[in-house]
Amino acid sequence: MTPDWEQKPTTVPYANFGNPQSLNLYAYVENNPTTVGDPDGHCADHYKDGSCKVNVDPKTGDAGAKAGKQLEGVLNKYDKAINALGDKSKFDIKDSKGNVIGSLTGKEIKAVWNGTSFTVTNQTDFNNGGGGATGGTWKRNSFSGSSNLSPGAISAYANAGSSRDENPFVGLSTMTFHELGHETHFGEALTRQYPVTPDISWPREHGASSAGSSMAGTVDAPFDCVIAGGCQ
Amino acid sequence: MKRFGGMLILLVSLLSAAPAQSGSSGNVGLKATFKASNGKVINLDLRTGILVTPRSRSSLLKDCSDKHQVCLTDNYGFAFAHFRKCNDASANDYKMLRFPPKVISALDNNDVWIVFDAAPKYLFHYAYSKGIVGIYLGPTDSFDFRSVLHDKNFQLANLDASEYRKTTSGAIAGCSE
Repeated sequence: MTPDWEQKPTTVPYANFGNPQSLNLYAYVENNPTTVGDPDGHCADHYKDGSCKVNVDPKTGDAGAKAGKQLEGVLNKYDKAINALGDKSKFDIKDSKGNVIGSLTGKEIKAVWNGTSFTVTNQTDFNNGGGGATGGTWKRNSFSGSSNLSPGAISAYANAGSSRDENPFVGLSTMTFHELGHETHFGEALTRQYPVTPDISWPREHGASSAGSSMAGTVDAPFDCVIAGGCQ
Repeated sequence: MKRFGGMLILLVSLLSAAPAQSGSSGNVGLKATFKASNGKVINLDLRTGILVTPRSRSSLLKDCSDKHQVCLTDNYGFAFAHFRKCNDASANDYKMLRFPPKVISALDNNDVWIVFDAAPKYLFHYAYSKGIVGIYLGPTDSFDFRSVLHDKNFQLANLDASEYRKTTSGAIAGCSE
């Protein structure tokens, strides 16, 4: 599936500083974000009601549709909070010992989040250069990219959460932020240092998880380093 | 002769699990060798149905496959099962396998690390299109890989020393669309 690049997000202001109530992130849904849609969603692809859309290759059948909905659950849950991050906010990336190994800005996190088009497809043989797991291009401060995941991979992450007696959502959230971690400047630098080959590069993957964990932490989203094989 | 018939079924079942790979490689994975960094090997010979590991001189594998899954066991601590179709691996369907796996880790789009209750001393590295690409043996014969599920600092890379990586071509139990 090719991402629909025509549907690039446009900036929608969240807060009117003359109206302090507009700073309440959930006032738009009467403080009940779990049951009411977000008409101003900022994720890369949208439904008409503004909620986050995951593109699903119809060849994946029911399994793909199910996986797409699971992934949309993560995107919709954190879309508003991610876009409420201040541009100049700075967030540390830490290794497993707590040492600071890098940083992210709110602007960077929003660019990755809003510039990544998610697709559920089985055409994902990234080691041969086709499909691509997760990738994109930075142009100054904007990012355009795609993350292609198979239904099997998505269910594996959910099951990894379940195997650890965690809610499957923990696995799905970990997957989403791990993939986005690859696209941060920190993750991209690691990809240049440890290029994608048929062999797994653990420095690259652990670094992506560390960046993803930091990103998840900005919105209190769960991230379990074990599920993605560990953090740096 | 009876044993030969069982092996034939085993061979047919495993080959049919990965039609794309077997058709293109010419080597259909009849015999897979997994090699550790210390030079020790695990041999999974589907022609003879014999599994040889550094800890067990040899054991005879039985085919427990059906039309939905590829399944192997020696009924003596080795067991593996996975769907023939990748899409069947949806969240609840794992329970339909003869040996439902516990998923230790998953990575990006291809790789998953699974352990089975029936074979806790083995950890399998499974890649959807390539099948079993690695087998881990614990440091002791009684090691239980399920224990790492509760280790908050667990990192797969730390297991490199105990991973036996597949060195032969051809897919073993790879799933298809």
